[in-house]
Amino acid sequence: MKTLIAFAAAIAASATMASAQQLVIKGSDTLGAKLVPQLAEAYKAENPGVTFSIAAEGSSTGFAALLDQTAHIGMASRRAKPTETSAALAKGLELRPTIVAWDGIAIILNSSNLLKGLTKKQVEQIFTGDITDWSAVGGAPGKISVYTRNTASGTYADFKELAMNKRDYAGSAQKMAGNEQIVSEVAKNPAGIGYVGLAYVKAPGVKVAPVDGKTPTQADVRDRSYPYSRPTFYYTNGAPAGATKSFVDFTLSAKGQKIVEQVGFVPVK
Amino acid sequence: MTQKTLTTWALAALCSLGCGAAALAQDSSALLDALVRKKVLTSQEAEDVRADLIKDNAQTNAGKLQLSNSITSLKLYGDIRLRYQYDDVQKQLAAAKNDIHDTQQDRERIRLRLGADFTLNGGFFGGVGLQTAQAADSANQTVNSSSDSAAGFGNYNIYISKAYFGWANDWLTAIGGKQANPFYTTDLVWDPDINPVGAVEKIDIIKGFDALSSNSGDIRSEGPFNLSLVAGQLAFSDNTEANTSVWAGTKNEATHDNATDCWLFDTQLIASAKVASGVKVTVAPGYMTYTNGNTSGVNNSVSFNSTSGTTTYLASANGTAFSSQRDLSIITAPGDVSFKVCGLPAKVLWDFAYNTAGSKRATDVLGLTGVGTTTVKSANGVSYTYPVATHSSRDDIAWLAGAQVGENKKAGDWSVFGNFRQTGIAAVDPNLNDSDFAAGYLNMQGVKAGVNYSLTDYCVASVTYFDAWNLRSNVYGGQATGGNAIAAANSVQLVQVDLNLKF
Repeated sequence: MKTLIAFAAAIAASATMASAQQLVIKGSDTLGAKLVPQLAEAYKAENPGVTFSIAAEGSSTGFAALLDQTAHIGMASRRAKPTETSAALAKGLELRPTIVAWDGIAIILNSSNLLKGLTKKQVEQIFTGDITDWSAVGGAPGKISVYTRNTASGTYADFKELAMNKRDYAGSAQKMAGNEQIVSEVAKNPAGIGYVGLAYVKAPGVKVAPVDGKTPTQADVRDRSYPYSRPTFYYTNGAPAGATKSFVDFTLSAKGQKIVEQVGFVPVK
Repeated sequence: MTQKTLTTWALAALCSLGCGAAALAQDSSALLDALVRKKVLTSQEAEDVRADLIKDNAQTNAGKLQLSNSITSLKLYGDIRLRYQYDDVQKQLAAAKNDIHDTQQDRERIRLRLGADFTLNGGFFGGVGLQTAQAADSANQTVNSSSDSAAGFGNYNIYISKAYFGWANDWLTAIGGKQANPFYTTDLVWDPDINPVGAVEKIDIIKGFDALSSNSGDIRSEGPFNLSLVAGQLAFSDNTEANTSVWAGTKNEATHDNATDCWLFDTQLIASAKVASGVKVTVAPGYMTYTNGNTSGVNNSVSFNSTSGTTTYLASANGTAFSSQRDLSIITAPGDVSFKVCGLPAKVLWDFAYNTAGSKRATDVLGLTGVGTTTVKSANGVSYTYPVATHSSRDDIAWLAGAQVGENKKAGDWSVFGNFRQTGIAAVDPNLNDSDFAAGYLNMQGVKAGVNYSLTDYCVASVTYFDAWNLRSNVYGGQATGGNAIAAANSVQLVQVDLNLKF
C-alpha cells in the first residue's frame, strides 16, 4: 500500500513539474524587488516554457517557504539561522546556499544633510538610540529619524550583526517593508537616516554616507574592506536540480552576473 | 577539490584550533573568511563548508536547543547532595517533666537544586532556581520523612528558590526578585541557604567615578584596591494593610498601620586591597535594620516581634502599641585575609555583629526583664525555679573567627576549615542565622570544623562537625525558653556527612 501511495505521489509530482515549469521564488526584498525579476525576464527570453512566481517579502519568508516546500528557491540576504537549519533537517530537508551576488549595506541620508560621513561607532549609536540628535555626530542640531527594515528582513538581521554589535534597534526606529520605502522616507525627511542594499542608492533625494571613510564601491565590497559587505544567496533544498538548477546556473553565468552588476550589486566572479 | 574534501580540510583546521564540535559552526566564520581572503577557498566553497558545519551542529544535542533571540548566554546548572546527619540537642529544662530534654536523631537527607542564569541584550540578565524543601534556610528533604508524606517512597515537592532579573553596566548592577544573597557575609548572620527577595543595588564606586568623570566611557581595569557598595531593600514580610486580625482594637484607618509591611534594609561597603604579592584583605562594614511591620508566618515570628508593647512606634487608634518592633539595628563587620600556604589558597576570616538596640530587644522583644521566676522540671519531675533572665551586654554581640586552607576545584583537591563563634541572644535575627550551627539556637558558642575532598572534578565528599554550648547559662523566661524558644538549648552536637555532585 505504501509503495502504491509513493508511486502515485511520484507520478503526480513529475506531472506537475513537467506541465507547469513554474519556478516559485520567495524571500529577500533586497534580491527580489529588482535583481531576480530582471534575471527571470532574461531567463524567460531564452526559456519561454518557464514561468516565474516571485514574492519578495523578506529573507525569513524565503526560508519559511522552503520549509513549507512552497518555493523552489529561497532568496536571502542573510545566512540561514541555526533554528531554520534545524527545522529543515527535522523535515528531511537541507538548506543549501548559493552565493549569487555581493552587496554592501549603504547608509543613506537625505541629500540636504551636510554631514560628510560617520564612523562605525556613530552608526551603531544612531541605530541603537544612544545618539538621537544630529549635533552629536557633527551635523546640524535636530532629532534623528531612523528608518530600518522590518523583522522579516535579512538586511534587518545582517545590519544588527554587521553594524550594531548585535544590539537592539532604537525603540523609535521606524520599520519599513522594503528598501524602496526606506529610500522614499529618507528622501522626504531631511533628518532621516536609513540603510539599503547597493541596488537602491542611486535614487533622487538621498546620498550615501561614507563609513570610516569607505563608501560601498564594487572594489571595497568585493574585498570586504567596506564594513557592511555581505553575500546574498539563493537557498535550495539540497543541491539544485532541474529547472531550479538551470536558473541558478543562469544567474551565475556571465550573462546573469552582468545583470547583477547592472542592477547595482557586485558580481560573484 | 571536492566539497567533502574541503569540509574535511576545514574541520581539521578548526579542530586543530581546539574548537569543540558544537562550537564549530559558530566559530568558523573568521577562519573561513581568512581562507577566502587568501584564496584558498572561493566564497562559494566557504559557504558550502559553513552550511555543512551548521547542519552538523544542528544535529548535535546542543544544536537542537532553541533559545529566544534576545538571550546572549544561558547557563544551566544544578547539584544533588546526599547527606547523613546526626544531631543531639540537649535543651534547657522545660515546664513539664515529660518534655523531652535530650533529642537525638539521625536523618538521611537529599537536596536537589536546579538553576538557570541568562543574559540578554542591552545589559539585562536574570535567573531562576528550583530546589527541594520550602524552608528558607534549608533545601534538605529528609528521605522518607513521615512528616511530609514522603514515607513509603513518596515523592518530593519542588519550590522556587530564585526568580530575579536585573540590569548591569560596568559599575552599576540593579536586581529585583528572589536572588542569591548579595552581601559579603558568613553564616554568623546569614544562613547561606537563604535567598532574600527584594531590590538590590551594587555600585563599584571606583569604576563609577571613573565612568562618570570620563566622556569616553572607558572603564579602567581592576586595580589593587576595590570599593563597592551593596544596598538591599528586602521584603521580609508583606501584609494586607487592612488585616484587622493583627490587632483586635477598633476597626478604623489606624488599624491599617498594624499590618505595615516588614522590610529589611541592609547596606554594606565592601573594600578589598592587595597588600602584598598574593595577599588580599577584604573588609565589609555594614548596617542592617528592619521596619516595624507586623510579621507572621516565619519560624521565629513570635520572638521576632515585640511582646511587651512598651514602646509605641506605630500607635493604633486607642494608643495601644502592637507587636511590631524588633529592635534589630545591627552593625556588621565581616572580613578576611586571603593568602597562600605551601601553594594552597588559604584565608583567615572573621565576622562581627553588634545590635545597637540589643538592650531594648532583650527586654521589650525577648522579654528578658528580670521580673519574676520560671519554674521548670527535670525529666524525673524535680522542680527548679530560676529568675527570669535579664539583659547582658554579651547578648548584643556575635562574632566569629576562623580559617580555611585549600579549595575544591578538581579531582584530588582538598580543603579544611574551622571556626569558633559566639552568638548573643539579642545580637542577630533568629530567622537569618545559620540553622546548622547549634541547630539555629541563639545564646550559643562553639566550633564548626570540616574537611572536603574532591573525588572527581564535580563530586565532593565532606564531613562537618558542629559542637555548641551555652554562651550564658540558665537563660530562662521570655522568648529564650517560651514562645519560639530561640535560646532553649544547653548544648548541640551535629555531624554531617555529605556527597555533593555538581552538574
